[in-house]
Amino acid sequence: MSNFLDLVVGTITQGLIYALLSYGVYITYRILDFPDLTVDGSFPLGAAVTAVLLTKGLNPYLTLPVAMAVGALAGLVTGLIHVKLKVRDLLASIITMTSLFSINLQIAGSNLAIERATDTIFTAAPTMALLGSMSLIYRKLVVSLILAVFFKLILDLYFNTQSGLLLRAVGDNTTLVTTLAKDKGSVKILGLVIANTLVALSGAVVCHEQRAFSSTMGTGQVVFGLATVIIGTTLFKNLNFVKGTTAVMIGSVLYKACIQVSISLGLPANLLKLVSSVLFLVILVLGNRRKSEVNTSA
Amino acid sequence: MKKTIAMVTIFAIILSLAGCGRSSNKTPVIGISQYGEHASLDNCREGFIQGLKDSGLVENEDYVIDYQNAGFDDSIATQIAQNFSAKNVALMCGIATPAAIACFAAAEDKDIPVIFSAITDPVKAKLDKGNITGTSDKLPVDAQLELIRRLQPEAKTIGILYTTSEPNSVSSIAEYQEKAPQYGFTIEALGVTQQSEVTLAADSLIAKGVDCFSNLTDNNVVGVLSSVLEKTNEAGIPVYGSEVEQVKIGCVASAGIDYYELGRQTGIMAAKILKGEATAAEMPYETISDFNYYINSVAISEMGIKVPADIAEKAIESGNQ
Amino acid sequence: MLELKNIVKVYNPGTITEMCIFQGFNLTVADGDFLSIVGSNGSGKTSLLNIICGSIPVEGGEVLINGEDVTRIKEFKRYEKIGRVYQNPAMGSCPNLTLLENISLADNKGKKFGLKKGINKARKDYYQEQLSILGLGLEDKLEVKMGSLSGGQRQAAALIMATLTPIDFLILDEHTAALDPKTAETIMELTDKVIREKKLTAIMVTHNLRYAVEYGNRLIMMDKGHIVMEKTGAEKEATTVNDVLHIFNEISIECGN
Repeated sequence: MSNFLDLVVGTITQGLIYALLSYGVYITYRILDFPDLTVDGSFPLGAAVTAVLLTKGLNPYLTLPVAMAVGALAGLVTGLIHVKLKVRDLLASIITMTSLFSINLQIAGSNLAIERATDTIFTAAPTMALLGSMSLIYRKLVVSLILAVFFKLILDLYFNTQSGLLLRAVGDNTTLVTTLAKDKGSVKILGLVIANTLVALSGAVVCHEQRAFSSTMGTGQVVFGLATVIIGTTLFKNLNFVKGTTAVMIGSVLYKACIQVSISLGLPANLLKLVSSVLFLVILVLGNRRKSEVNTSA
Repeated sequence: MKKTIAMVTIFAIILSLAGCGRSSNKTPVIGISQYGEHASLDNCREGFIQGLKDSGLVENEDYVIDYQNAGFDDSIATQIAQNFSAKNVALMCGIATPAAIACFAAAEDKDIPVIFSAITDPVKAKLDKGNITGTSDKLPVDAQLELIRRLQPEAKTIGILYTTSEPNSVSSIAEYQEKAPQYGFTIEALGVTQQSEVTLAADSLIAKGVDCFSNLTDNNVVGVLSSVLEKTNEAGIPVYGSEVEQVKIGCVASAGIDYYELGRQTGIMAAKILKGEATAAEMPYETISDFNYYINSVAISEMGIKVPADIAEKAIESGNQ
Repeated sequence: MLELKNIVKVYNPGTITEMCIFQGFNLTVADGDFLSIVGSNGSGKTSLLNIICGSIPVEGGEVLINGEDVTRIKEFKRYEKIGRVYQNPAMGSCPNLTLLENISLADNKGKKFGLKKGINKARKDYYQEQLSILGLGLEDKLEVKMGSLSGGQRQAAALIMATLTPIDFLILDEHTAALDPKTAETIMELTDKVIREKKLTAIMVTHNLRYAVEYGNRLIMMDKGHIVMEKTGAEKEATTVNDVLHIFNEISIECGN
């Protein structure tokens, strides 16, 4: 049965690493009500920066804050284009995303791979000191779990602050934010910065895990993010004790599980994406059915 | 809440059935992860499977194949490789760089041997050290340059389209530029970042007045080859492909590698690993050295090119699509 | 104290639809005034409110609050000392946040929104006290999402939210127009109560001539960007709805209605 366990562990690890991306999309799509395609560019940005720094011998743990900082910049750019240059939200994010495609290649030179000899956050000495007794697969799980939960808790704490509350308000009623004497543009920019910080972090961790940056790795990530946010929030709609961040983290794990199920079932390879979409749909429908049950019985 | 529990249970059952069902038998599994569907990559895979057979191994007795296609999606390639690792496959085969990288990453934990194929620069992809080996489809640049010189004695410039993010393409361009002067050519290389830019770049090269085009094994360029050929044919500029499939589509000729052969060579190496004759760590990756001349007679005559007799003798007619 | 001096406002300048609504408009509102503004549609009432709040720019003239020229100050900054209740109850609060969260936001108006706790539990009693002024039972509904409350409840909450922190004046932008007659009555009474208790300066735009006459100490009627009638103090006390209606019809007839 170790096969099944390995599979579950690997899938959950993927889900947790990508949960960081989902947190970012949760902030922009769900809280700010801002369709942010920057994600397709900031995700590989985190990976590009990480790949270059690892190759140059930087302490692997330090690549994470650097990736986050660059991600923040990407979010800032989108925010400024939208607020100061008055470009529509979707278009502003597309402009940043497209620019990042070139910028990422400038940073990394081309697609970049990391030797096994180079340490990552999963193999460096401090990690080995704590988790050395575990196999690599489990170390990846634990480190990813720590990251996913840590940032989830930080976000939850943040949403309870005055700044976090204002962020939640700007996506709900921008007029109120103005009436509260706050610049709604600045609040939106802050949200974009925070979101893309997390997305770039997700890309950085993927780079550690896969030991590679590829210029195409960002394609479709915003779709993934949206799917996980929708899965998560739909499934847990009526359970108020489940916070949005938790729901989204679970959504990410579930989506990765859908893909893994399709792979495992040995279906014709070309149907992989179709099958995962169908599974996604099934989950959504079941989630909605339960919601209407609760409504009629209430 | 009940429904959630039900769903999760069903899920777990499916996963377990899927996971266990395949490994209940003890026959070694070879996990083939192909990055995407593509004539050259498909040929490569088929050759690989043939190579295993040619080594005397019998399918379903000595090995079982688990073939997965990542649909050109990096994160799916990651999960495919994880699936292989969880199943404890005896060998992972990664066809094309992203698939091979994903396999190598997933194989690290259990040190599962990895074999790759269709990677132009394994060193750049950091796939040359460790429990990994394979075959490189390094372009026979010298042979191609010589072919072009023989078929177009008067030609001066060769235009090459490539994707800037592809390390394979970048290293090939460097080699072309290094060797071209020896054959009396200058190279006009034009890089694009995505497939949609290729035909525009082709227009640009045509406007520069290049005497011919030569292709690398660049996925983006090869993907829209027909559109490029439309333009070059109209301008009367011959295009030399990098392998047989491109000549079939309409390139005039190619001094190219046979991906089926490349795959077969890989399969033979894989068989050695399975039989225990050598480990992947011990085997340095091999570059295919043999090449073939492929000719598309129809395209060649349309360009008014005369094929020297000795080449015509050796060339494989590949005119049909 | 609010002063509008020589305000010039032109909509769509230089185009076919160019319309000059104010050509040197003047108005002064003293501290403690409760001013009602009535007038037909297009008379410039809403433009006036928007000019005061900074939602629209002016082509000429000055807006002075307590002697300070705020004409160039951005809209959101002006709201630090201005409270506004809109016609649409939905605009006054966030539907997906609870009443407590909304009030907590309003409580922090004019201050930094930093990393302190969003909801100050110590203030909860104060919020309940404030909400109980309304007499609508909202003090027990702090954990309810605003979206589930009725229009009247949301508007009442918006009123409290707008007046929670110290403000120079309260702007009421036809704030009863979207409510049913009974609720409108309740809200209007509450408005008056809140203004009295907190001693606020208020400017109310309304279509309801009765409210304009019954509440407040000043009344002006506007037509095409001009003040055509102004009653203050005792004179206003003596004014009846019919008086106002009379002048209303007069200007309408002049226009050829």
